[in-house]
Amino acid sequence: MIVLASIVFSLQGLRSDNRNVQDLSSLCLLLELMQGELEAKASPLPELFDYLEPYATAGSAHLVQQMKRKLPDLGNVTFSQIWESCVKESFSTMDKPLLRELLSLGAVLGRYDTTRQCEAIRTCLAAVRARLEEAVKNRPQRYKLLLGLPMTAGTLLILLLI
Amino acid sequence: MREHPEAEEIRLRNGVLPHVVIAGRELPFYNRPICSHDLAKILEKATGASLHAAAPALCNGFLSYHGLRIGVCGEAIHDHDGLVGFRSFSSLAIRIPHALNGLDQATADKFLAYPGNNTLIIAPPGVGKTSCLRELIRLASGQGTRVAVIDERNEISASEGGAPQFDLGPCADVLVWVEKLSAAMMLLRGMNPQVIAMDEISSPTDIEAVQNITGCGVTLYATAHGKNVEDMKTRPVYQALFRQKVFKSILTISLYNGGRKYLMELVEA
Repeated sequence: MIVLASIVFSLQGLRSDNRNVQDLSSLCLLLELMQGELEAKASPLPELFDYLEPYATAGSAHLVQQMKRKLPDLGNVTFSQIWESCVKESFSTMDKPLLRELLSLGAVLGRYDTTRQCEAIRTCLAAVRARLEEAVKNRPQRYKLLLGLPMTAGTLLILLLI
Repeated sequence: MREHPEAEEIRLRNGVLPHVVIAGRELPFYNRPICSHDLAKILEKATGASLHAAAPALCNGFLSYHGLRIGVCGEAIHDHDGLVGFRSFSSLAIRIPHALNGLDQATADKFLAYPGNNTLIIAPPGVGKTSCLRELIRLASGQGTRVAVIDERNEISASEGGAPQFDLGPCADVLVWVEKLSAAMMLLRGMNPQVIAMDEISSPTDIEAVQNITGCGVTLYATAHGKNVEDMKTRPVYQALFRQKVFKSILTISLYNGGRKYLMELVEA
């Protein structure tokens, strides 16, 4: 039972790690595309999300879909409220400092000129990239740890039983 | 507003009760004063939370949303190139468009008898020049005439995502957010129009656009602020056009007994 529980725990950990990396890498792509579209075309945000939809994957795909679904509520709720709820729904496992960085974009997008919006996106993108690089770099160690745990538990159990 | 189909405008001012304009008079219609947050929410809705994309329109003093014209007042922001936007908004004037259910038959018949005439629509602000121009475009386009529309402020077509929200007939091509002089040259070069339509000619460059269009043998439908032809002739910017007899048909709109009166005149050569 202990070995089985350890294996399940490890597999969950590995899955969560993979999802985290996928989310971060899809978010990087999303932010890069957003920045490019705003710089080149100054697209209105509803058009921007239409454009982003086919390129968005993992958590970013959910974010774009939710934004498209909720943007018609503008007028009853503000853009930053919509952004906050969509980001929190789409990246529920994201660590707090990075989530705060992403949420802060909601107060800038669509509100200021494109130069300032792009600056904010660049800052956020740099933070996401750094976190992605860290996650990718630490992945082998995490794999070793997560796979080692059930093996150690199993070995200990065998020793105890002997 | 459903109870007041005659409503012309909604006026929203920070700290004041909202007003509706009916027959030129402002009447309060709600019991809570408007606050800056209300104005911000309306603008966020109207721009799709994209003030950056609406900046060119805002610098002209208004923006368009689903065919509504929203005039803005507030604290302007300037940089070395001039006005770039607004820091805060103090008033909004939301003009309610009224789709014309056709001009009166006599006016429409007169227009359709001479669709190749350069036509000028004259009326004071808020009387319905743009709606009337839209109707002329629809009538001509409905008869198979290729009409290219210069919609500098997106008021004629209220285009969204490339589709006009007002019916302009099957043969209308709309160019949005381009100033008249450049737009005229673009359309003449690229769209082979039989008619070009434009709203509110008022500046020397607009007059230059008019002369370019009519000089190329393309028919022009245009509008201008004014009371009547005599009033227009006294204004220097229009004098050359009247001297050259550019417009062969003049349609004057005035308010009469709470309704609109159309007067179509042919200018003798």
